[in-house]
Formats: sequence, structure tokens, C-alpha cells
Amino acid sequence: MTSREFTLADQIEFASFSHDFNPIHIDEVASRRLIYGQPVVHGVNVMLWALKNFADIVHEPVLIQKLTCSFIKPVFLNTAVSIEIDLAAVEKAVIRLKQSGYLVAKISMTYVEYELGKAEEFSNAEYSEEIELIAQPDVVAEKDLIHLEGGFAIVFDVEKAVALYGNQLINVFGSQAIAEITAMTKVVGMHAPGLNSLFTELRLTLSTIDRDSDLLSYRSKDYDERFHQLTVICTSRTFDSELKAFYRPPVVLQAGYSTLKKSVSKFEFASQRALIVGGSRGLGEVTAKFLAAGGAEVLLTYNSGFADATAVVQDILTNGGQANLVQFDITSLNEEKFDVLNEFAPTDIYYFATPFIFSGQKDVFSESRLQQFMDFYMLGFHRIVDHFFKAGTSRYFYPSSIALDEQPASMGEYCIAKAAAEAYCEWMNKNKSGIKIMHPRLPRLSTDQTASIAEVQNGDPALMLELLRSFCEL
Amino acid sequence: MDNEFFLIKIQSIVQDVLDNESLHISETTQAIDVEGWDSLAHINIVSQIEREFSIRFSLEELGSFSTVGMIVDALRLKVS
Repeated sequence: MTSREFTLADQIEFASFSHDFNPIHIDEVASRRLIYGQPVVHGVNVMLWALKNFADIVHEPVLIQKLTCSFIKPVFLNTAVSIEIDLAAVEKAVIRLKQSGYLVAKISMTYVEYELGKAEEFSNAEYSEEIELIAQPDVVAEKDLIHLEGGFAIVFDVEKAVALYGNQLINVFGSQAIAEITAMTKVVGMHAPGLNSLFTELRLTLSTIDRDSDLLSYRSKDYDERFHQLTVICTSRTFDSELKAFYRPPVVLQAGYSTLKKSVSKFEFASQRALIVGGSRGLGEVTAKFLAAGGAEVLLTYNSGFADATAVVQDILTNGGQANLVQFDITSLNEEKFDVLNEFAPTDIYYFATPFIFSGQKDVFSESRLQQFMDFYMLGFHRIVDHFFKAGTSRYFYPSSIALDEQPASMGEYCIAKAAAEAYCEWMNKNKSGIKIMHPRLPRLSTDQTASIAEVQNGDPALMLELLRSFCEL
Repeated sequence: MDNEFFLIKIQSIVQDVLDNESLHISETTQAIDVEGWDSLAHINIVSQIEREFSIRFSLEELGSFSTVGMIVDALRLKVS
């Protein structure tokens, strides 16, 4: 069975080829705040690789009559994608793509075989090869999705297509069809819905109208608010197309320092030198702001989100609080890193370091995923406590989760790691004289981690204030 | 049209969405029991049911679909 892995370098190559520069595909730092917590492969990149494999088998030129490609699950980087091509029916193909045992995309296609010679005529439509500079995706408000309408001249670099997928893709399907299919990712990722998009389905039908133009035009057909799903109609030289894409939840921005400050008494946390491990976003960010607003001196750590952490610190500083930041990777600690934190001499430590939470599959128990959660939630916290308790810090806040009460099917590894951490906290509280570790089970609160396409109820992160006050009284 | 009719139709749609022709479901089947039936698959399944029967479920109805039987009941009411 043929398989391949897609790397970040492949993604960047494909972005420059297709002109779909959506950060969910090419930006490791930005995508950690998006729905999958990491970059995902452009669906059309996977699809073209699948069509290349089909082309390698059939050899003869074909004309696509109808094609439906469902992007069923995200395709992650650096993990093998396998392909199965079913050619059992005449001029009909079903292509299945799987990753980690799961069906991630399915292509159903009907086509006619071309006579040699005619194929060249079909292939030779010319598109501009003008290099397009990196562009930013459109940011479209949800209320405006139903009104989207636009178009662009298709740009297609046939040499680059050959470099990415080989000669056979162009020889079999023709540059015209491949150019138009490639342009579909630009429609979704850059325009409709644009930045906040997840491509879920592409339906192509061979057009009965002969359009002698390299223009692709698109317009919204329907927006289903229940599922946050946009349907877009496209017309181009060869195909009439219908695209479906989710309006992906935008990055969850927490309340600003000035807003949170209104709920806090000026000196209620003034005795604290608070170290916040993982404070660049989410609950760590909110905690940093509350504590600073109550007079604490805050040092927050970040792993890769320098810009996010800087924004939090700037927000606090410019509005009268005290805060600083330091880069710190909890999974690869060394003494040099600890030296920086030692100088701060924290009185209280808040531990929010976390990987992407919702990476689990309901039918799979993954040892590597458990190890990752254990590294963050259990061992990372232990390293912090082990180091700082000896140095004199006795107060620790550790957020556990209500998921331990609910035991969701896809969160086995997460629940086990959090349960181990809770047991660790209790063991330390019982056996280390003077230590105080508070480990409340937090409900599902509105952060990047809990953003979802499906309707879910997320609480207000401002709930943290009551917990911080309880911790003060501990 | 009885429950069996709707159940067979829904089973066919679920088989198609989950790409599993040997999958059998009953009215007591829950999404959690079926491999691959996650939240995105659920949206696809509901969308295909709506397309097949030219109906549209309300948000309240969608929230009540804890078993296949609940979908069958809602569908029967909509269609009849």
C-alpha cells in the first residue's frame, strides 16, 4: 500500500503553489491556538496526491465528469497517510485515504477516458504563472458569510505541479483540471470563509458551458448556522463546483487587564510573587491578569507563544500592573532555565502548562499520547514542585479538570494523567510538611482549547477569580 | 412508513458517511458505540438525512439525538 507523510516544508511548498496561506496549514505557532492545536495538511494537497496515485495507475488521459471529495478528519503532519484506490467499476474510482487507521478523506469520481491528442487540447489552457506574494486570508464575520461573492484569475505554475506530484498527474488529468482543483483551496482558505475555515467537501461537475476564461468566481449559496457550515458555489473554465466549509471558531481572546481589574481589590494579591507556568493564553493568561490587578508581581512563562506572552505582559504593564515573561519549556528543563526562575523567588506557583487537550480518539488508547500528557501534567509539575519546594516555595495551584468526573470517551489518556497528578498533589500535601497544593477540578471554560465547531457550553474564565481567592485563604 | 423504514435509511447513510458497509445499527445505538461516529461525522450524518428527506431539524431536536431511535422518532414526525 502506498503511503506518505506530509511535512511542514511540504505545506509551505503547497501554500506557495496554491496561494492558500491559511495559518492553520503553515504556521506552527498560530495553529497551536486553533481548533486542532497544530498545523493540518491542506485537504486539496492530500487530494492531489491521491489523484497523482490514481494517475500512476491508469496512465491514459481522463476527463472528470463528477468528483466528490469529503475531507472527513484533519490530516496531521509527520504521520503516514495511506491510500486505497478502488477501480472495480468502469470509469469510476473510489479513493480512500487513511491516517492512524482512520478514514480522513474519500474521493468518488466518474470520468471518461480521452482519446490521445484530444487530451492535449484539454490540457493546454494557459494560466498565468505570475508569482503571488504571501497574502493574508480574508477575515469574515459570521453574519457576513451568506453574502460572500468574488473571484480571481487562476494562477498555476505547471512546473511546480510536476515538481510536487510528478508528470503523470498533468498527463492524465490535464493542467486545466488540476489548476481549477488547486484553486479551490484558495477559495476556502483565503476567501470563503477565509481565515476561519475548515474545508469539508468539494463537489465538481463537468460544466456544460464552455467558458473561455481563466477566471474563477464564487458566491455563498447557504450558511447553516446550526453547524456553522458554509456552502459556496464556484464556476470556472471546466467545472461547476460546490464547496462546503466550516466556519472554524476564531482564536479565543481573553478579557483585557482593565476589564478584569474591575472585579479585583487593589491589594488582595499584593503579598504574592506569582510564577505562572504557561501564562501566555487561556486560564494562565486570565490568572496572570487577575493576580497583577490585585497587586501581585507576576512572572509568566511561555513555550512558543512569544507574541502572545508579550501581549499579555504589555497589557498588564501599560495599565499599571507588574509583570514579566520568560521562555520555559516544561518538558526539557535545565538548570540554566531554573536560574532565571530562582532569581524571581516565587512565593506562589500556578501551573497551567498543557499540550493540546482534545487530541484523543474515542476508540484508541495511545501510549504516546498518555506519555505526552504525563510529561506535562504530572512529571512537569513534579519537577517544578521538587525544585521550588527545596528553594522555599510552599504554595502551588494546580488546575485539575471536571473531565475526571465525566470520563469522556476520547479523553482516556488526559483523564489518567490528570488523575495521576491529583494523586501526586494529595500525596505531597500529606507527606511534605508545610506544602500547600490546591488542585480544584475546573469546569469547561472558554479558551482556545475548548473551542469547537459543535455547539458546546463553555463557562466564563473569570470564574478563576473565586478560585484564586480560595487559594489565598488556603 | 414505519420505524424500520427510517432505520434502514439511516443505517445506509451512517454506513456511507463512516465508509463501513457492514455496520449495523439499532434504535438503541448511540454514537459512542460506533467507531468513527464523532462530532464531525454526526454533522455529516444529520446533513445527509436532511438532504435525503428534504427536511431540517431544529437545534432543539438536534440536541435530543442521544440514540438512533431518537433520530428515527424525530424523522417520522417530520416526514409524516
